[in-house]
Amino acid sequence: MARMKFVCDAERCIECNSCVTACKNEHEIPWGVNRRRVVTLNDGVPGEKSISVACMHCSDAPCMAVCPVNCFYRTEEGVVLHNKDTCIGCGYCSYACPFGAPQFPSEGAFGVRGKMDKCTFCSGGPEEHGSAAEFEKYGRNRLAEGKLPACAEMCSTKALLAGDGDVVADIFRTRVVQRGKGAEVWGWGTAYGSQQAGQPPAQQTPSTDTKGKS
Amino acid sequence: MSTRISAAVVCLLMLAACSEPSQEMRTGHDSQGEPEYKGTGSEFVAPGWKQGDQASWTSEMKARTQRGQNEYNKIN
Repeated sequence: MARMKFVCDAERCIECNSCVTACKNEHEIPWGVNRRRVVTLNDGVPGEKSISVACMHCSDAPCMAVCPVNCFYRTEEGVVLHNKDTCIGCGYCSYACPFGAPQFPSEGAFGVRGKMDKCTFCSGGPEEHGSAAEFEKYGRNRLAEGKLPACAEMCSTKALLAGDGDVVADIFRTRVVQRGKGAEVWGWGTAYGSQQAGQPPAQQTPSTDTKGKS
Repeated sequence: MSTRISAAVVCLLMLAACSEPSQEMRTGHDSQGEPEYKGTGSEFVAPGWKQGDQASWTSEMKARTQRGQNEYNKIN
């Protein structure tokens, strides 16, 4: 069974925002809502790094844990989705998410906060696959069409990888071996709990060996 | 006799708390909808897999990931 995951290769991301544009175009995202964003650290400083950030579809999703109405669910493919018919727009998920994924459309004269909207890994929602209702609420269901998320497929440098976790990890591993650097995957450890990638190096424990000391 | 009856009544009263219904707003998570391998039923889907066949969908997803995102397959 496939376990869908995102990987963003900071060594390759050139901050072109094609992933953001592809997402907005594919799902007709309203103005003010960004399911995906490109974040640049140390902008303007030599050695700056950019990463594309959206919902990472965490293995142990904090949004699911805090939702008071249990509108979240995880599909067989490991994608974290939510039911907008159940969502009350409270915003708890927004505070819990380490990636800032939940978005809230602000419509009307008084900026009333609507139901939460977030990346669906291009797999729609609980409505019937490919239906108009699904597209209106959640966007296009590319997974059910045998495709992968539009952001990753449109990425010009293939910095953003999306697909089965084993496959994208294998692709990324090949790159790291070939170039000999850039093994850090930002957000991977937070989202998927890996102790091998995306984690700071283990702290050196003070040696208890006292040989040779007086 | 009356002591036994009163003891039985007390036991019944104590058991009454066990029947308290859950106060959770909802039980369990929302419906998960249909799995992705079911497809959309439309002809306008990516070729190379059969809608409704999980093994076919999974293998196509893996093949598509390698085909579209691993350029080492193309240049080496």
